[in-house]
Amino acid sequence: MTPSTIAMTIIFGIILVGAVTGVYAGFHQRMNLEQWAVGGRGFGLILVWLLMAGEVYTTFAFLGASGWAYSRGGPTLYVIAYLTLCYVISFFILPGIWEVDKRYSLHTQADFFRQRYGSTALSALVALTGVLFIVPYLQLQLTGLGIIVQVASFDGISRSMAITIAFVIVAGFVLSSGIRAVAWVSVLKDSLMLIAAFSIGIGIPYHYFGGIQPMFPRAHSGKAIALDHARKHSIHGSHLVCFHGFAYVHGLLHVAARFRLGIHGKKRRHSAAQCRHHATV
Amino acid sequence: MNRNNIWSLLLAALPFLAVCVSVPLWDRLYPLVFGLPFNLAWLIAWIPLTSLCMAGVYRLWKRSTRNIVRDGAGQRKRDQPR
Repeated sequence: MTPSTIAMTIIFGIILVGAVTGVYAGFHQRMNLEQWAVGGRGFGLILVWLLMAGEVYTTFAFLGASGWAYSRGGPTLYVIAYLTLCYVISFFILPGIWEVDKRYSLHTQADFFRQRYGSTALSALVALTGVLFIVPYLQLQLTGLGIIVQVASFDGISRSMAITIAFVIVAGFVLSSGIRAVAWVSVLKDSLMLIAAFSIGIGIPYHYFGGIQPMFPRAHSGKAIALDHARKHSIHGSHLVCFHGFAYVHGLLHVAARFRLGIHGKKRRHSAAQCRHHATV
Repeated sequence: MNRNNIWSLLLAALPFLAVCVSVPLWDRLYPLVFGLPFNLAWLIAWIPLTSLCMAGVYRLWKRSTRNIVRDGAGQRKRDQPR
């Protein structure tokens, strides 16, 4: 077996296991909107933890952040800082939102804004912003995915082919099983990610440089490893930063909006207008 | 806002203080920690330390809401934090 066939076998094995996990996740569940969108609000502690940890590890973690660290060095450390801090903020905001969502059976951010401010226009704006800003983010993730698969399969699978396959499979299991599919595929992804991160983070420094410490001066001098193959295929760094910036601003806006809601929503949750709204809903 | 809440907010502000506004204090290469530059080691160390801080915040937050329920102050009778 050539390295190329081995790589292809592994890639298609992972795709198959992922697709089966995704579709199977929705079995034994009576599908309604509540089940599809928010998993019946019944995810356990470990699943939520895996989801929150897993959503951090996207193709940006593998390609964008590491590529940027390779080319620019130090400033990339902000990733570690902001990812840690965002959960501190979430701790104060999310439980309140969860409670309101459960009480009024809300499913989306747009629902939440309509409920909170009683304005359909605002909720439409929120929905539109969400869709609009998820487009460059999706493009970034799918481009990264295409590059990774293309490089990993020794050019056996072209970039557009990889993106098409991935998109069809993801759309398929999300349509059939909703958020449960995303959650369980994310469990699979996290396990693979952990193996990859540990083997890369420990394996590469010891294999190529004889330890973690000697790697840094070599990386600094720009002669780390011949990464020309990977470099040839990677999209331009500033592109990546730009798209990530888009997504980040989008996230910040939403967090800011949620924070405002978290603070003021509590005080006025039982106000007369709110109760009246509740009665009409 | 009672004393527990204020302490928990201060505790939650600690990670921000450590990795966000104090960058010039720890942004250096030496001393190396386990072969890592000092700034990288500092940031990695603050991942578990942030979890510790948040565990403390959670306990304080829980205690403060429990007191509210027990004292019957206000109309809040929820055992969820916030």
